[in-house]
Amino acid sequence: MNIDADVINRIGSQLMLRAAQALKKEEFSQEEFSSVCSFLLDNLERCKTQEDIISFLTGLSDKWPLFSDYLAVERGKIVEKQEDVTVKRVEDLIHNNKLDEALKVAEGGATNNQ
Amino acid sequence: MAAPPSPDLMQRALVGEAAIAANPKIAATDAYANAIITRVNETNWKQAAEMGKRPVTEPKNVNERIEEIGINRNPTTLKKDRQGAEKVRHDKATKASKESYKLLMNGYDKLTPIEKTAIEDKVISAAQKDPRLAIELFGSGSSDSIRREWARGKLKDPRYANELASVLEGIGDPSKALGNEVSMDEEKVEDAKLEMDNKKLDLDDIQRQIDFVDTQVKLFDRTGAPAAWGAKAKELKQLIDERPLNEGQLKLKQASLVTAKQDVADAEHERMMAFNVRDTTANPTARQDAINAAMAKLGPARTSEMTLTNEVSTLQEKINKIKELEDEESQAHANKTPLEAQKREKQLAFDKTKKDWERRQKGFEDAKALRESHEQDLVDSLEGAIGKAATAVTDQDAEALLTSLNAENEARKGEAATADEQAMWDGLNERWLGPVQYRGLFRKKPYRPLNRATIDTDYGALMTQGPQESMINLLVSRGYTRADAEGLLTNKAEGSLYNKMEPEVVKRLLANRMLSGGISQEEVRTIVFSKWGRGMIEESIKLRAEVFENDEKLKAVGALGGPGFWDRLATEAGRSPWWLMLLLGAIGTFATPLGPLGVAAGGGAALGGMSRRAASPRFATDLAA
Repeated sequence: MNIDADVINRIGSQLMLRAAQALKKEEFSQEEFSSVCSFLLDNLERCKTQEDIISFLTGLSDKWPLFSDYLAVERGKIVEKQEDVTVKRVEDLIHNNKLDEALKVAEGGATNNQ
Repeated sequence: MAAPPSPDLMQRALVGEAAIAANPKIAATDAYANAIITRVNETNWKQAAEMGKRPVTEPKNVNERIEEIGINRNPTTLKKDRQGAEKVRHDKATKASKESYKLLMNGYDKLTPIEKTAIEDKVISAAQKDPRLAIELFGSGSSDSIRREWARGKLKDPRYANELASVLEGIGDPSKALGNEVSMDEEKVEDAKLEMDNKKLDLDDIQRQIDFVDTQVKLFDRTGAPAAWGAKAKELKQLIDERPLNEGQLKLKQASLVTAKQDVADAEHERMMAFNVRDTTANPTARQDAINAAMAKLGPARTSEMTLTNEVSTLQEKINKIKELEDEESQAHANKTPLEAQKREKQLAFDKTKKDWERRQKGFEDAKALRESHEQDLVDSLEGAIGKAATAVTDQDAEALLTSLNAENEARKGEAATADEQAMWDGLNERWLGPVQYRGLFRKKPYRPLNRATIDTDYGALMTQGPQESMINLLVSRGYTRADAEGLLTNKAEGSLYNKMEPEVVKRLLANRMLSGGISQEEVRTIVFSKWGRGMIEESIKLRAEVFENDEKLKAVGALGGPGFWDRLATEAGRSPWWLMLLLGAIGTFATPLGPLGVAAGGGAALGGMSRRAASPRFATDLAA
């Protein structure tokens, strides 16, 4: 699923705020903070899909584990969105009397979300 | 002399200074994090990340450099005791550092009006030394408000904070520490002084002995008339002169003394005998009379003996004194010789230590002078940091322009129809660039600076002889002989090498000249009124009509070729040589070291700062494309 610039900006702002707080609490040195900033600048805007975002956040969390909570939250949001989309599709199919297809989509969605 | 302070105390003093310098670290990091948070909230995450990308130099490092200022120490505590010039330098550096960090942490907009003005002044002052900005910012057509607007543009430029951080990082670089060598030198001077003083005491001791001996020798001095002789020399002379008389008298007196002694002995004997006299009836006082008679003889005899004894003794002493004085004189001379030898030895030792002390003192003075100049350099760097960062942003713009020019060269090279054209393009790519250099403290970035010497040569030729000489130089730089190059450029007909390459060479040469040294108002007139310059301007205005559609300056100059057009254009271009570059098609419409010179921005607004597009890394490729 493609993402728009607002999502990038939201994630960028939240990550920067988290990083600045970490710097404040001395969880990061200035050098680490600088590396995080470079990482965000180099990679975040390249994300075009939600999968890219998850991959970016995974890379970020691997390097700096204090962002792993953020990865979990973001992953949850994506799953939630995917569920919403699946539910909407199933509803549409049911509405159009395509019950078999609706069942398949629902099963696929459930599998994807497991 | 006070005892030298212990090394331990010195160590403690140094550690204390480091701790003082390190203290601001936590507060600074906190302020830095707050500044990042503010930037995220007030602008966007990208600007905040750009700011955070380069870690702000830990003020600790800069503070350490500042705390190194001064070498005078309290003799008891050994803490720095800055007075006079040292204090002035320390205060200036501290003030400049605080000003820079405040700007870095809070950003220009958060400063007070007074602080803003002071900072703008620094940026303008740095720009005054930049020939690329000379005419536009400081020429007759400029004003204080234009300069301030330009300075504000630089200070608000998203790249500025990084540049300032980088400048401060360079100043705080631990490898540039002033160190404690001067203090060590001072200690060595003190040690050498102690050693020298010690040798001086030895020398003084010997000198005192020599002085004493000299006094003795001086008593025997026989220089000049006898009346002027030393006391003992005179005495000796007198004794020697009197010796014959004294010896004669001594003999007489000694003989008389023998007689006198005999008289005493006789009188004694007579007195003894008198005790044996018996009184008689006839003479009842016979005994006493005899005693009295003996005593009457004994008294004078004894007196005579005593007088003669004294006289003999005196004469004997006078005679003996000659020997004594002669011995004393020779002893005085004898004593002086080894003392003189010892003195030479001690003098040598003292001279050596004195020389050592003087050498160390001189070395210390030199080191102190050098140290003072290094301290002043530190103050100057801190006071110039704000301006230097703005110049670095200007450099980036100039570099972007240069990159775009070179990228265009590279792209256009492919259009070369002949090997000669190809050679000319290759020359354009190479001749005005110097060898690769590197910039940046940690992440060294290669770049090729402009080669001022070749640019000046070719530009000088362009101004005096027109483009052909520069074109010949380009070909020669690619291995052509001068005769061959001249031959190739003889044909100036449509489609010839000369005809195709002349505007390309001129455009690039002028742009490179603008980037390396600027163009004067007189030279602007030379260009505008030259056949080649005028031709290029006409062609550029005609072919790039859409670029100049909204150009307020060109509108003010009037219609191309109208009455007074070229004169007005020369005046306007004289005020803004970068605009002339735009007219000549020598640069695109975006970046100049002055800021964006886009026609849409135009006039004073053009001085407002670098456009976002120009600041983008993609700018050069966009422009080249």
